[in-house]
Amino acid sequence: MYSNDGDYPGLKDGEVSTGTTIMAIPTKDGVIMGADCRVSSGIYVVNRTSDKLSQLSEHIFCGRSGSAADLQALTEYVRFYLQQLSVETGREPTVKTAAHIMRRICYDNKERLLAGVIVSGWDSVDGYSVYQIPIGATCLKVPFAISGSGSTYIWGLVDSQFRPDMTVDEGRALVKKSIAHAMARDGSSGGSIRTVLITPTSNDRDYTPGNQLPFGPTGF
Amino acid sequence: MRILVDDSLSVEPNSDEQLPYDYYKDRSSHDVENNNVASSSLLRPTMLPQPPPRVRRTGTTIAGLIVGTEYCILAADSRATMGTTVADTRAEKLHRLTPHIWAAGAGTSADLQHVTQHCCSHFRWASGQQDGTIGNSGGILYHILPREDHGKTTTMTTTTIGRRRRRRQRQRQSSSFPSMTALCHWLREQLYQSQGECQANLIVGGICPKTCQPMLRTIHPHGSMDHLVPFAALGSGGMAAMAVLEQSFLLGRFKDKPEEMTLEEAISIMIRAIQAGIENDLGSGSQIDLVILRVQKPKKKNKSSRDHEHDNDDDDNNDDTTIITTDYRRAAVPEPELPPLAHRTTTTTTTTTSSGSGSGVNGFGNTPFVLRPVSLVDKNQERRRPLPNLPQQEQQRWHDPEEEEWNKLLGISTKSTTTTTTTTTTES
Repeated sequence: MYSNDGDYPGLKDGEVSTGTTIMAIPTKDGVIMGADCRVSSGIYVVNRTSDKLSQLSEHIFCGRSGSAADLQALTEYVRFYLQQLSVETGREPTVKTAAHIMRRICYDNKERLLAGVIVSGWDSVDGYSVYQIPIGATCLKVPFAISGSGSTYIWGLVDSQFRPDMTVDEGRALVKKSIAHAMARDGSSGGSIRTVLITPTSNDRDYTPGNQLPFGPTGF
Repeated sequence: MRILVDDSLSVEPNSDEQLPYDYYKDRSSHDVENNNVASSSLLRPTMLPQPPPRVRRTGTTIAGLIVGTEYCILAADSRATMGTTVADTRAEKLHRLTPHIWAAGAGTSADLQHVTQHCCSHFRWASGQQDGTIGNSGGILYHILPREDHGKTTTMTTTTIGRRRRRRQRQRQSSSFPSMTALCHWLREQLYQSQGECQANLIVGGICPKTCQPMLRTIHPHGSMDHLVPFAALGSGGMAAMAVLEQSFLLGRFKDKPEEMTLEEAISIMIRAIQAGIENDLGSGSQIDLVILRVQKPKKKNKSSRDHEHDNDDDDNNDDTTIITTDYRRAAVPEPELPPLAHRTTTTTTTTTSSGSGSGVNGFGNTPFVLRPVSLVDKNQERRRPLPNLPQQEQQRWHDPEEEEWNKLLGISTKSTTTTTTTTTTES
């Protein structure tokens, strides 16, 4: 039940993975992050309703892909450091700081971790920004980001459909469509789609159940 | 007389014997394998390659379910295996972390018992409940009411300490039990630090004392947690149990109205889920244990009645109290017993073929074919094989008419006594 044969090559035997599809698209009025909901261990889906968009700070979220245990521990470390930092400096942490703290921890433990992360959000210094930290712990500031095992199937789609100044509705529709297409072709992604819209004032979460996907099997 | 010395034997030299240099040249104290058999018996048994020890596991079926906003139910079977042997038929797989948060465990027995016991003790100490048993102050008094039919019921009311100071004590009491988040975080940290060596799959369920709501979490051996699950099933029989849970919880009549599920229906779903695991998995078996955790919120009253505090505080139906109940039912479904041997029916049927009865072998029943020994084969069928060329049997040889014609064509006389001509074309 818990053997990892066809999954990420770095996963240990029996380890649970969020081999997944995550993405972040900045729009005019907010950054939209999206993720699927599947957590698998080998060929068995351990959880089909998981939430891969973790909140690091008030306006900073991160999308997780890789080993579930490693990432949950990572996000807790980064959350802790950001809280400490905000107490010491007296202001909200920036997305750049969050991304680089994450990058630092990933790099220092490179041999022991299997984690690919997207950090994005809003801060008062840079506005909306998106940082991608793939396996190996590079930190890149990117105009948009997709990551996870399912992202390889949607690079062309997102490259062709992304525009720098979209509205929130267009951005959300693009995120849902791309993740639905990735879920249709990637075995490690599936279930439902969760999105969050990060603005200076609020974090607006959205949930698309598996039978209302914009693309894919809807027979049930 | 010559004394033969066998040089192939490597004799252990005496300590005071002067040995030639080349004796030591290619020997070292590190060469354990090059020693002869006599000195390899000095090796400890643990240094020899051994198969890994058989660990006692609970290859198991465990399941958890949340019913509405009132109940959380955990269920487990009770078989512990050691390889292919059943080590324990009455294993307790429902571990108590706090009186109102329980954990069902699958994996290695030792790891599970150790981790859950460590967690329980750590939080008893950390939340000050240990003081009550040692010193004078602190501590939570809760009633343990023995039930006649099932296990123990723990009923925690918030009015056990004092009457007048009820509100303050309620806050103190409910916060002195650890929250579900704290427990799960501690468990995950322990498991993450062992990097999967501690094989413990846990379904942690119960009533969180801070929010007074039923919650369910699954924790995996490497330290990952799933927290948004309305139901869960783990263990080697977990797939079978998950099939039952998915079918009855989400696809059944509760699909659009999950709040309509009653406690009895939920218990029957859980029992069927564990039963599916027991029937379809070799690592699960014996009886089914249940624990039902229930929270009863106070009924809402208007503000004016709050000022009138009643004096009968020990009444369970007091309006201000939140009552959390734990109902641990060991052997909720006992192990089915086999009927004695004499009552089991045996099937004996005989076929009425001409060759006799073709009865089954080893209880497999009748075979569609019949095996007969060679001696009973019909003599006519022996023409297929060439007979040995013995004088008295040559006259009894059956003459194949085709063979004579072939021999005439080929110009071979049939009077020859070699057996090579007896190979006929009919032999295939």
